[in-house]
Amino acid sequence: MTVFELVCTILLAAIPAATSLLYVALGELIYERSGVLNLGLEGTMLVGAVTAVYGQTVSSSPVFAVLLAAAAAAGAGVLHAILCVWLRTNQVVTGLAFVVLLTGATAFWGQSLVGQRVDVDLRISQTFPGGFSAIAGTPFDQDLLTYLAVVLTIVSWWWLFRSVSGAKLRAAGDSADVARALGINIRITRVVAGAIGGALAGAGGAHLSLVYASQWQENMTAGRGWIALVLVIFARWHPGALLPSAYVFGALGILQLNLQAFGVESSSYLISMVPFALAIAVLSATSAVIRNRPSSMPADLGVPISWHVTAAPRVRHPVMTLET
Amino acid sequence: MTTNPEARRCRMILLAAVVAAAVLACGGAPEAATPAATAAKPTAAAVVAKPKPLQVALLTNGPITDSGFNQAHADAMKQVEQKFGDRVAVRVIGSVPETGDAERIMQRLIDNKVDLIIAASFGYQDTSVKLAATNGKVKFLQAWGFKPAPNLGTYSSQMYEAWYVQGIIAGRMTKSNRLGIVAAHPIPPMKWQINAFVRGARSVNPNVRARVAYINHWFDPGLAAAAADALISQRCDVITGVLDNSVAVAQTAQKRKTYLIGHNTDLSKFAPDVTLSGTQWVWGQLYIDAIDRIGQNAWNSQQDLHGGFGKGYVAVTGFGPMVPASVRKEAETAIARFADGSLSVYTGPIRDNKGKTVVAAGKTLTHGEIMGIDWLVEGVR
Amino acid sequence: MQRLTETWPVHLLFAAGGALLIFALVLWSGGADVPVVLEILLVRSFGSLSAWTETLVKATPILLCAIGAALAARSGLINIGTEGQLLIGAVAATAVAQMLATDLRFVMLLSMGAAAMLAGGAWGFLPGVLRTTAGANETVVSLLLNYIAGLLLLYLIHGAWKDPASLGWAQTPTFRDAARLPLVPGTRVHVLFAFGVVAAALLAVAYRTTTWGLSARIVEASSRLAAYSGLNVAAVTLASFVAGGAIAGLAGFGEVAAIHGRLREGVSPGYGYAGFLVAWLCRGRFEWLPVAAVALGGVIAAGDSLQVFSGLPFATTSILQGLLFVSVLIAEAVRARNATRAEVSA
Repeated sequence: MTVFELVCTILLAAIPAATSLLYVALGELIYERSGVLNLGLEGTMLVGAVTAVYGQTVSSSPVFAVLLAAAAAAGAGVLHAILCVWLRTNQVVTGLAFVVLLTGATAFWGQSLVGQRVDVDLRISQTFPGGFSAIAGTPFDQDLLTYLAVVLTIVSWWWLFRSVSGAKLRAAGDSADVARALGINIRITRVVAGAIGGALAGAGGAHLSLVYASQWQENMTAGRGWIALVLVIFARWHPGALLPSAYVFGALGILQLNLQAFGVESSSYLISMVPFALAIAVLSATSAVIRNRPSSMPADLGVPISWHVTAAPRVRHPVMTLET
Repeated sequence: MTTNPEARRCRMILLAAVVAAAVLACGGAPEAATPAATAAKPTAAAVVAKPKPLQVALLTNGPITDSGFNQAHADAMKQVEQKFGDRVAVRVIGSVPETGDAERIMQRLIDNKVDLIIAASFGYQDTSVKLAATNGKVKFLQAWGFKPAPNLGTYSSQMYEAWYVQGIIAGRMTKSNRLGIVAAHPIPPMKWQINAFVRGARSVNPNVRARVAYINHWFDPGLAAAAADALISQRCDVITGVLDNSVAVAQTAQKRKTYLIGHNTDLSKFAPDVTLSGTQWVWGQLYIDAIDRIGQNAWNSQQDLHGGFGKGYVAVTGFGPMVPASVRKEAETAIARFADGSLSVYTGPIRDNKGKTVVAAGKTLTHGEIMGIDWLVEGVR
Repeated sequence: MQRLTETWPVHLLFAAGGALLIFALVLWSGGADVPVVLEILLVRSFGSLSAWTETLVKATPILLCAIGAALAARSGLINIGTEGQLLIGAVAATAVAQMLATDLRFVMLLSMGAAAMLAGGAWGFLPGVLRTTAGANETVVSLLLNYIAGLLLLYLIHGAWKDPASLGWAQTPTFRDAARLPLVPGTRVHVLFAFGVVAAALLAVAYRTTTWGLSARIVEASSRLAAYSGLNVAAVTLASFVAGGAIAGLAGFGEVAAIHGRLREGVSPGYGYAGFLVAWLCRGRFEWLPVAAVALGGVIAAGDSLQVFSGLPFATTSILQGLLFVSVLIAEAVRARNATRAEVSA
């Protein structure tokens, strides 16, 4: 096998590795664009992963399984949004609490699903044997969820930057005061964004358990939820940048496996550091240079909306203190 | 005073949360009822058992439902219960981290009059050595341990014998002469298994080469699947996983129609069309041997609890239908020769994959030396 | 006068009760014997001396990390990087323990502690300086640095620092005796718990009485106001991040020198995050940190009695902790809301 073939293999293997990251990160991007930071992605993703396997076991229909996963995880997303938006709980603490709670809950309720064989083939040559049988065996024969992720990312791009409702969502995240002045219901906007974010994280979890690892195991996300969080920063809160970034992260994750299979020694720990270091660099550079450009971090990210407009002088970044 | 609206609202929110949880709980009940119930009942029964049963606690570091290394231990304790009935009371405690927490959990067991603590992962050794020194009445068994004490025995399984047998099967079945191995970390407990597998394969087919992909995590099914995928893409046509949990490797093999050698427990359920055979831990026999001695008041920590096919501490799972009778015969012969001691995996001359002779001709490594192997045998890249 | 039902302890009691109630429902849904489990949790968890001292053992790193998080919070910023600061402190202390060939316990332990504080401080300096110079969000940067510290630790224990005598298991050799922090006999409690309590008390006083405290309070209230009044906001921010990192780094020293006696994977099962939750729970008030840290340590230590005696899986402990956090969050939100309302109507 030549080096060229190796590169092709890695690029191909990166696609399924990136899909779950792409879903989760896209959901988080939309939620963060509305002004809420959800650190609990690891837990939301696990909810999706376990319900997908449950749905598949009871219905043998992958479509139902994925929808169920998205719905359950959307529920978790809405719960997070209600806590953070209505009750104005501290977003960092809420996210951390959700990771602990949902990791435990999925492990507890998912016990009977461990060791269940998951037999799902969503490659499009198998799902639509009529139309796509010709591409079987080619690089385009990816699973349905992978194609859907790409489509959803492009749709979100258009939606966030070219539609009225997308602009409202961004306004809620960039300045709650301005958004309120424009007559936007910030709470509803953020809760809806939380539902979308949760549903997408659930789809990401479903891809992991149904397609990628083909099983349910407690805590099987193994840190992917946190990586997705980094990915959003790396892509500077822009869906257009998210798509290539997700594939870069996916490729970095499996790079070392493929190098070893090819027969090259490498240290995975140093390779694994790269995304985190890059994210810090990107965040610092973009914060310093283009702080006020629209494609950078939502200005009100993490800022809970005040109860009464007149209640207190507006404090910049109140979430940055521990008193919410 | 207690009826002010704020306090009432506070309580209402909590109540709403309770109701929401109740609804969730009812929804979750049917699927979850069985495992927790069966998990809770035996211990409850054990507490009231009559003639002072031997209290045994086993600690593993992963979930005991993993279809892998940890479940093999939990299954073994079920065998122990069957064998000794109400003469033992068994607790299996999974997911005990190999950190400072292990000491607290062991101490808590000791405070509650446990007679025997089985530490089923090497990472507990510091803790069990420390607690054995201060709790003379409690007996300890430390897996892969090498620091015995009067009340601390060590045990291990010569899994490399089973791997050698699997190597023979893989070496006969491969067409590309390339085996793929997914492993957790590049450390001796993985390496002595990998080496045995490759030596077995090369004993029947000297052209065999093996590729190893370390996922560098103890547990990440997604990465394990990706690693298996990468190996298959590099034309490996028999793959296996030297992992705590090899289910993801099995599923990938099934998907990509590539032969699988199972590990830990029988994985043919996950890869019915491609499983050639597999290795299997038989900790149950080992624990029965140990507890039997304690029951006869004949226990001492020097009891030899290290063994392979001879003592029945390892096994192989059934052969897949694609394995020809001649290969089965060869594998069974090897098992018989391991059992009677006429075959050994680590007898020289053995060269490592850099060409250096690591075991001189005629010399056989001791079990202790094998446990510390930090080289890979020739043929592994 | 504040009514009894509006006080924070009463809210906390409501929260804990609610969490336990939901927990009981979850257990019941899983078919467990709820009264038995609750009896184990509430009674047997505290049935022995070791259960109590282990609570302090668990509380020590949590307390130090909580001080680190609270220091940043008191100058209006978020530091969830205490996890990484702890880990890097453990790495630095281990480096000293391995390289310094002395049997003088005093010299050895002081050097290890100093190295841990320096490394933790440097790890805290990074998000602080990126915040003050580039305006990078310190929440996110400190979170990212946790991962880099964790991977660096893994890289070292799987590589250069691996103990050849541990069957190749990823851990360093055990430290020499001089590098072991003495324990209170019969327990695993060590001096850093007392250090944490004293540090929290001193900070509580300093925050009220010194110029540093005043500057921090102004910056916390409004960094813009602080800048107008001529304060060097960047200096206050950086100082709190570096000091917080140093104290969290010390927690890492305590874990390797007192508890493990070597550096290994899992040296922190999330103490940094637990510390952050404690700091939040006390709303950054230093004098309450030891109390909350001991309480959380107790919850965690009680959790494993569930695992040991009830036969329930490990995950049940996480459920209980998660429920407690969420219900305390709700209680706090309700309290804050009422306080705001009262303010507005007044």
